[in-house]
Amino acid sequence: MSVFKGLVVKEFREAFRDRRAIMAALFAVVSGPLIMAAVFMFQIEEAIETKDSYIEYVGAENAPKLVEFLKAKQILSIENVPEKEAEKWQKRQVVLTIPEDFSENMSQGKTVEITLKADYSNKNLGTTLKHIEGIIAAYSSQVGSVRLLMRGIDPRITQPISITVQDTATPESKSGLLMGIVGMFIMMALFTASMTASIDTSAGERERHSLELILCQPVSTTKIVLSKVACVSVYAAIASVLTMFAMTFTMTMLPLEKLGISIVVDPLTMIIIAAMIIPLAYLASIAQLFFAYRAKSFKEAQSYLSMILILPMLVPMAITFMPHKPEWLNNLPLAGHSIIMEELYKGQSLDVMAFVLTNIATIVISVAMTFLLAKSLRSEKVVLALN
Amino acid sequence: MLKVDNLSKKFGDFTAVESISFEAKDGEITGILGPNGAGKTTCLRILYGLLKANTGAAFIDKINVDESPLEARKSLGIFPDQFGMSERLTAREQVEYFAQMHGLTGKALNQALDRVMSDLDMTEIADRKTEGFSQGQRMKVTLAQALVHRPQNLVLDEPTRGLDVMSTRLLREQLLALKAQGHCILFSSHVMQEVAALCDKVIVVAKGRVVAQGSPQELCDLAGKEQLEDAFVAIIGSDEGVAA
Repeated sequence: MSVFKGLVVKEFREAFRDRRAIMAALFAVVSGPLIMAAVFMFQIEEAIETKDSYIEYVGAENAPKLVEFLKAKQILSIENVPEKEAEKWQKRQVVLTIPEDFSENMSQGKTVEITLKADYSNKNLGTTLKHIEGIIAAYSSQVGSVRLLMRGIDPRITQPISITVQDTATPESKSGLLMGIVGMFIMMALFTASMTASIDTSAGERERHSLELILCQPVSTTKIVLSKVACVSVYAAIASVLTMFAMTFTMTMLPLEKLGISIVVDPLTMIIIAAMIIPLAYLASIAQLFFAYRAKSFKEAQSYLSMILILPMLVPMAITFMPHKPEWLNNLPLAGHSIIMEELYKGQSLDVMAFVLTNIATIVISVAMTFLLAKSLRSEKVVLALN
Repeated sequence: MLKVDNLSKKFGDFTAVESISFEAKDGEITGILGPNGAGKTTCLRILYGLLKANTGAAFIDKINVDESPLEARKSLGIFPDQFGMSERLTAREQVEYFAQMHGLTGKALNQALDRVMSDLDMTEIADRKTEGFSQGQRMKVTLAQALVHRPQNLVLDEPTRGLDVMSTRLLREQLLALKAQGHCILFSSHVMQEVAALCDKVIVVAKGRVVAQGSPQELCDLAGKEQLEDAFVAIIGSDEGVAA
């Protein structure tokens, strides 16, 4: 035991004196909340402002009533665009063309074709275009109803079924996507924060010509691996818990209620999340060490680990979008954690079974990787980095 | 005591070591002399238990390294060919790390550290971080971590490479003192003067085989030459890789 203590002390001394690793960890903690705050500030601004749109009317004189109807609903003519927004709307080039025979066809009861020309792949235009189509459809149905009425027919005859939507979404549950992102950042921090530390203690040690001599000492490779895992895990867990606090704080500062969503962050939620971070930190550190030990140099290890870095994004996403998946996939590490965190932040109660299964799966995988790595450090190929 | 018996090692098709046998006795300094690429380092790596031999076995104090590597390494101190420093640790912390791996703790640990620091005249640099250490200072740290647990057997891989006169002298004095105390010292080298001055017994290795062994004088007699360097060249049959 005292031997192990010595190994751990050395790992901590090295890792916590490493400025490069500490800066990387701090960056991981700070960047998440900042990105998130920026994205949501922008979204909130977009969502709460129903702005005027400016389009080009061709042949407006052919259907003055329709144009008036549109203008009343904030679809204004490009000629009246204020200077500040002029460039934006001129570039977007939304053109509504009303044919000359509009009133003629209208009075004869024929269908009139008007044209709406725009770049439908432009995401910024989506809302405006939908808005215009809706207004025209409403106008069209209004005219149709009047026609039926004048012929003594109840206009409801053309609408045999009407649907009433009862939305059971609460402000908490609407936050699904947002909470998914928060959980992802918390898990990402585990990897980004400990990456430099894990490479330094493995591939870095090899690069400094220390590894071989250490493996010639009377200490089992299991103990060496565990001492490194302990240190890297602490790095990862500290960063991840800090990220959780920073994220939570950021979210309470954002005016999310304007998006119609609200979040639940009570101390119990935080404790449960912190309890999940610990086995995840073990997984993150052993996974990174496992691959970094296969590299000859710091740089080579960095390129391996950048692929591991995307796992906290990739795994939950793959599981979410997978159709007809077996139930147990929901308990995979990272995927399961992401689901649980999302539910907790939405204000739902903890699914104890999922919590237990997910964490057991994480620990089992991590322990298996620990023994595999310890075994591989006794093989010539890994020791001498032969390929 | 260190012993290798009929060692062979292949890397793919390349034979690095072939049927090497020798013994390094307690109270003696034994040198492995050979040109670059002769298989010296491979042979030592098998002795440390880092590589597995295809045939034969290595023994440290009669313990088979392959069968119980951790037990065997307890009485071994290693001075490697590269001075690997953990640059964020002080010299003392780095030596402490190795001492702890050999099971030293508490008071015994501190005494061992103090002793080795004063023996190697490195108390002044003990609490400095090893970043920026000179080659001589690095040599001291490396030697200290090999000696801190007072191993019965000491293996050095090309120890004087890159060292100045003062450092080389210090190393030589240490080795002679250890020999006098009955330790077993094995070191590989291709520097003739060093081997001639220090070694009781020389094992000449070329192309993975032992081509001759005996005291420096015996080797000179064997080859019929006055100088060890000439004898060495005559024995290995070429002047390839001989450095002064």
